[in-house]
Amino acid sequence: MEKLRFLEVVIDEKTYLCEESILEKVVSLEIKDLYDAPFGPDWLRYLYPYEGVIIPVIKEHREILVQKMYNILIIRKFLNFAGIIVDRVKGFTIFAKEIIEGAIPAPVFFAKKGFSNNDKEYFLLDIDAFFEGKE
Amino acid sequence: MYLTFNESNISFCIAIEDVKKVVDISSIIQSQEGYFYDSLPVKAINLVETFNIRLVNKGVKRKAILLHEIGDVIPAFFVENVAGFLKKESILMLRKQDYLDFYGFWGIKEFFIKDNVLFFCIDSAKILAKIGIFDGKIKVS
Repeated sequence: MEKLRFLEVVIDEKTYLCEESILEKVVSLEIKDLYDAPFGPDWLRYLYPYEGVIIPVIKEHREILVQKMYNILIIRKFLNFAGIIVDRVKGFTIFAKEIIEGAIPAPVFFAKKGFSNNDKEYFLLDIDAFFEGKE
Repeated sequence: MYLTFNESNISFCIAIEDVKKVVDISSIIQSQEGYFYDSLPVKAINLVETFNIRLVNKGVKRKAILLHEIGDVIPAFFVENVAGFLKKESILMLRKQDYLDFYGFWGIKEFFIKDNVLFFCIDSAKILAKIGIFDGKIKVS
């Protein structure tokens, strides 16, 4: 049985799975390391210089409890990068490919599909639409 | 060389080749027919509206950055203040990812950081096209 490895993160009490192939790294940054994004959609809160490019940092959910550091998931698809502020990084997890293939459409921010496993809901982080400008 | 300026608490810059002149706002004549400089009509570009800037700090416009004429019209940015000049060699440009155009960054060419301030470098050709100034003509809206 083919298995797939994901990074499990929590955003706004929802558990998201980030495919290993699009995961660049997870960084922990202070707010002073980020620059305000003065325009763009409301969820595009910050800009962050990384590897010679300015990457947008997305924070879709409401204010996290007062936090000094932000965990930012940096994802990469070819030459495109983006950062997503996450509440918690839970570590790597492995799922059987057939479970992932059985995911059903879920209208959740940055996830097209989701599935349930052992009474827990998971959403598959999907960033393609973001890079194509389809929110 | 880049000209740096502030508008609504945001630091912008523009390549000096794109700029015809920087003048005090008092040099721009306002009449019922619009703005004029040196008897030529001026089309003012509002950066707050153009970029849909979120937190608008309504500062007093002190300077007009005049771009090169297109036809006989001078495109211009009316800005709060002009900060100064920066040599290309003194900054490290940060690339803009193309997909950011979808999210309101189409008029920005690239970025740089100087003294912990992020500067947004304006792509004047794209801004002129967006507001309807292109091909040597001004689109009548």
